[in-house]
Amino acid sequence: MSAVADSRRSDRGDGRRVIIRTLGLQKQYVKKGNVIEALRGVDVHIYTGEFVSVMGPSGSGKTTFFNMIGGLDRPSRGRVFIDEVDVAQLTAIELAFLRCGKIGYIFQSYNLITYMTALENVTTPMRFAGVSNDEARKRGMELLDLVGLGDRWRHRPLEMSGGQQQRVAIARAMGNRPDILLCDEPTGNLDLDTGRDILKILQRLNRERGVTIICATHDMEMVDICDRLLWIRDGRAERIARRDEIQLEVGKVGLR
Amino acid sequence: MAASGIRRQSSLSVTRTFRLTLKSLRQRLSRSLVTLMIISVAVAFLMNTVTESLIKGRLAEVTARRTTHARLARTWMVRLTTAGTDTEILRHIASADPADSWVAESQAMGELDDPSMEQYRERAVVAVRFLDWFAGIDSGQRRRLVQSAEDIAVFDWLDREENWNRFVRRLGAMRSTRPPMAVDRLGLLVEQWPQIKRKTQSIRVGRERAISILSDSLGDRRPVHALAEVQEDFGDKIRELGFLIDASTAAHVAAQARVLVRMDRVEQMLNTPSVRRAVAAHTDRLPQEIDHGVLWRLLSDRGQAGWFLSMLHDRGLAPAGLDAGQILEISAARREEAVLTNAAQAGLWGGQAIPNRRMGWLVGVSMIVCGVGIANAMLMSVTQRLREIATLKCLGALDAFVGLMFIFEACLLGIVGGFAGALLGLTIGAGRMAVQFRGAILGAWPWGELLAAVLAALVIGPLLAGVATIFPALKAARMSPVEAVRIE
Repeated sequence: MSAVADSRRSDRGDGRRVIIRTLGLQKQYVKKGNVIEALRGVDVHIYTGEFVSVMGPSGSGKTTFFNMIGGLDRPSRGRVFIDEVDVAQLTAIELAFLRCGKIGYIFQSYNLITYMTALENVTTPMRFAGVSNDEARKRGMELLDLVGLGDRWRHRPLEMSGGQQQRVAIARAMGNRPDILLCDEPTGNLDLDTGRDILKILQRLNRERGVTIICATHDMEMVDICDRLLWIRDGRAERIARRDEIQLEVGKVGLR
Repeated sequence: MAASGIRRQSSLSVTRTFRLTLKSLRQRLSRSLVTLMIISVAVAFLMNTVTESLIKGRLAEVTARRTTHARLARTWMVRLTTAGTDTEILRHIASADPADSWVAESQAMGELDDPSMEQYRERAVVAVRFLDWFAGIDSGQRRRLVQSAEDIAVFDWLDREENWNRFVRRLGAMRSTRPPMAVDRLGLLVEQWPQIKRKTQSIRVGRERAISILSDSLGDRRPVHALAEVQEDFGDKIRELGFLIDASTAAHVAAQARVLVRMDRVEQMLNTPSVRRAVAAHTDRLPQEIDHGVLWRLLSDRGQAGWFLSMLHDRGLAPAGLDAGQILEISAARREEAVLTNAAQAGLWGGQAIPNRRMGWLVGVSMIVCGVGIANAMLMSVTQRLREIATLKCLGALDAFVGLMFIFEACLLGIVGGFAGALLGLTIGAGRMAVQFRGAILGAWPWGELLAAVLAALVIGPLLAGVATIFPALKAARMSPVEAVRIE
């Protein structure tokens, strides 16, 4: 397994290890008799503590790629390793535990549970993980404070603005201290300023807590704060580049 | 697993699942109302059926005891005045309790010896089963089988060779109806028929003879007046003619007949125009509106009965030996009679503790329909909450948790709906019975059984809902978390 050994070696030489690795990742859907090739072989390494932006036009396979590396869906061919565990080898229950403890999800439409208060939303994944009631409340309040909503823990999602809901969603995703935060267009439904606030929170989590953040986006602001940018096009990883390499081409990238 | 850093986490306990379900339910009460209503209507229907048949069953039981005595005078009046048709005699013989004095009486009057009477009874039972079957099949089929023959004439018709052959041929071609016993048994019966018919006729002729002698000796006297004296010489007279009446029966019959005689005397008063007018004026009605019902309702009050008697007295019509107390007694007896008639009819149909087959079928179908309704409502709940379920799965919910959530929800709704339905069904059933039988149900209230039925409804509600939700719950449990990412 020299490939594994290779992957553990950091490109940057700062000792970080690979947390997500895909090998020839392919996914086909059959829709109305037509085979749709959503992913045609993606090989990507993502390192701990990285902030990676994933960009690409609609229908490029971005979301499919997200589902694969988030353990939400199984690849047709190829492999996904999350923390060196082959996702395809996990049972349904192990997969649920992986989703519960290892990965935090943030959705474009927040997906808060409408009948729960902000605090209950945040503590739900902790309860799935078997955290005691008191401990979950304590941790939940800390996280709400962290996203600046400590005083609104009693409010239900419908009583909050989009930005506030997304902040609760971030607190919820951080509930079980995950290694990875998967964000699917987290600012897609928000205006510019609110989106910027959300990005700041994500950036802080990345810097202060060392959480690996993988973020699908159309938002150019994201490019400013990410470490690397992954371009997906027609089901392939077209280009992976560090921010400083890409900065010069931003105008061009944005226009595409 | 340890190497990967994925800890084995304790799965969510059942109580936590339950608490979460409760919370989600509280927020979606209005939507759950549909499911709740379906369950309560189903259980209410079941409960209504059970309540009514329980009350009717108990009522029939209680009144059966009362009626056998209360209606003896009327039964005997019929017995002493009409012999009945051959069909009636055959049916009476087939269904009678061997201890019934009517059977022994008929045997003596028909001059049948013990073995031939026993044989006759056995054959009558078979004959009545076929008669019931012929009466039950639809008229078109019956016309094809036996043309226009009815009742026992069917056997006469079948006794002809060509008719019998035609009957067998046509019955063989019919698929939708089957006789209660083999056709050969019917063939045997038809062969025996002339003998059965002869015996039936001899019983009828014997009874007719006795009745005609009795009616001659009664002359203008009405049988009810004679029956009032059945404990005296009239009893000896009918015994002489072959009617079997023992001393205790005679005592009951005489007492009731006396009441009937008095009732008759009071009712006769209305035939006098001046009395009728007086009653009409007193009750503020037109004279032609005054019938026996109006009169007895008036006389159920002691003061009014007193008024009635004094009014008769003023006209010099007061019947001897009739006071207000007796009038009240008669009035009460008359009301009781009406209730018993009603209850006795109830006893004839559906008066069993367990709903009969047709009712069972109806209840079964309604349960299935409601099960489908609940399954549909829960399926809608699942599809409406796709995103929520998928999100919960993204957060680490196990399949079992999601499935349990829906089962719990259905069971909770089932308990609440079952209880509401039980109360509703009980109220409607008891109300209907109260209207139909009035005060008679007070003494015949099956408390224990009704309580058991309510408890059963509390089990049936969640069971029905739980079973109906298995499929929607499986659908929810198997859903892919990818749904959470999808944007509508």
